[in-house]
Amino acid sequence: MIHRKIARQIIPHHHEDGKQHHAHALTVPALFTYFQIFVFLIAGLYFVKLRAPQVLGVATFSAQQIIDLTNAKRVQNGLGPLTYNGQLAAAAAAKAQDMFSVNYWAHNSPLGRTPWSFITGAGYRYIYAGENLARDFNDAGSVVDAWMNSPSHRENILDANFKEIGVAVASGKLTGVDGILVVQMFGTPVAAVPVAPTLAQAPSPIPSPTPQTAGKQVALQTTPIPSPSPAPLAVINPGDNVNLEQGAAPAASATVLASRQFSISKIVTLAIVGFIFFLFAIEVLFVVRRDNLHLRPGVLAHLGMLGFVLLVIWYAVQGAII
Amino acid sequence: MNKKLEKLAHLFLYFGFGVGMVAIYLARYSPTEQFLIIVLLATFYIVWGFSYHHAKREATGRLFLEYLLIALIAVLAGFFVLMA
Repeated sequence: MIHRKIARQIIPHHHEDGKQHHAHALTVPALFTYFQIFVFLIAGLYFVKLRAPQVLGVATFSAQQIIDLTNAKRVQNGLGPLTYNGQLAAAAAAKAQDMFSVNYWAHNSPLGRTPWSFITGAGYRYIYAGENLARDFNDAGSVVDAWMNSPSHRENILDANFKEIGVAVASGKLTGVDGILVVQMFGTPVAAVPVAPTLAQAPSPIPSPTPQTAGKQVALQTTPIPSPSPAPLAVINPGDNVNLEQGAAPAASATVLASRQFSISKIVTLAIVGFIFFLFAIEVLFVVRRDNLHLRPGVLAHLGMLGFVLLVIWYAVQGAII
Repeated sequence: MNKKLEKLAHLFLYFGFGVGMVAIYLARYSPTEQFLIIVLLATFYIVWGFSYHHAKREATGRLFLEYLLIALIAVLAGFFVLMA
């Protein structure tokens, strides 16, 4: 008797009146319950974020990890590793700070500042320069993997023209979301390339094209400019301003709460949506196998919609890059 | 509505989901865009359901509620993972 009651929850069946009924777990009130569960989960997540964010865990990684992984990818592809440059790191930190203070997620700031202005602002004289941006990842490996999977970012990482690198890893609130921001600046200093006579006549940097994904610029700067004193190493504290520390190697790192959030959300969502999908699939299976049952209107469409959501959630990528 | 049209209508719906999957892949590093694609697909699904069942003359309030709830569950699931 009990097993029959349980079966009626998940498979279509006939009642005593001879009418076909679908699984009780797929009735409109049941669907409304699943809807309410999501509402409570989202409300609960915001409550936890507000009151006890430590519950969600800690994510932390450093600029050095990003540089090491970037160089590992270059070496794997037969290229030489990039040398750390403090001025590029300072430029990256200044860019990160600007993104937090002006609150934007783009290569160009709403006030018109380009990535190159941060590089030159840090005193770096370049022939080639590039920028990769990432946010909301929980580990350095995921950031570099995401860049490597994007053609334009990969092009920057594997560009043989680049000789030096600077990275800033910062945590804070960007466009209303707490997370880690990674700014990766590439460059080739003027001194690294022999200046040909024709280049020496170039008066100023070539105007940059509108920065697109993974911005890159080639400029010819030949006017000798004294190199600034020891390059500052940028460390950005959570949700605050940029702190600059002196150092020979990058140690900038950022920590944010909520590292577990993505995986918990993903598992819970897969479980609930997967359960509803499973019930509809069972219904189709039973109808196909039993002649006395017929397919209810809309079931195939529901299966399609839920299957689409399941695939999206399954392949959802943590973090974003531009 | 004859069987052929029914098949075509479902093919159209599943073609829409296919286009959605491609769009999701193209926007794989932009959670906001991915969420917007889910919202668009959920809207498409509701409109399709309304039109299809209306044409088949089997539209009922309960059926539309079912479509609406599943679309809302899809949107909330997307929001929970991609945006929250």
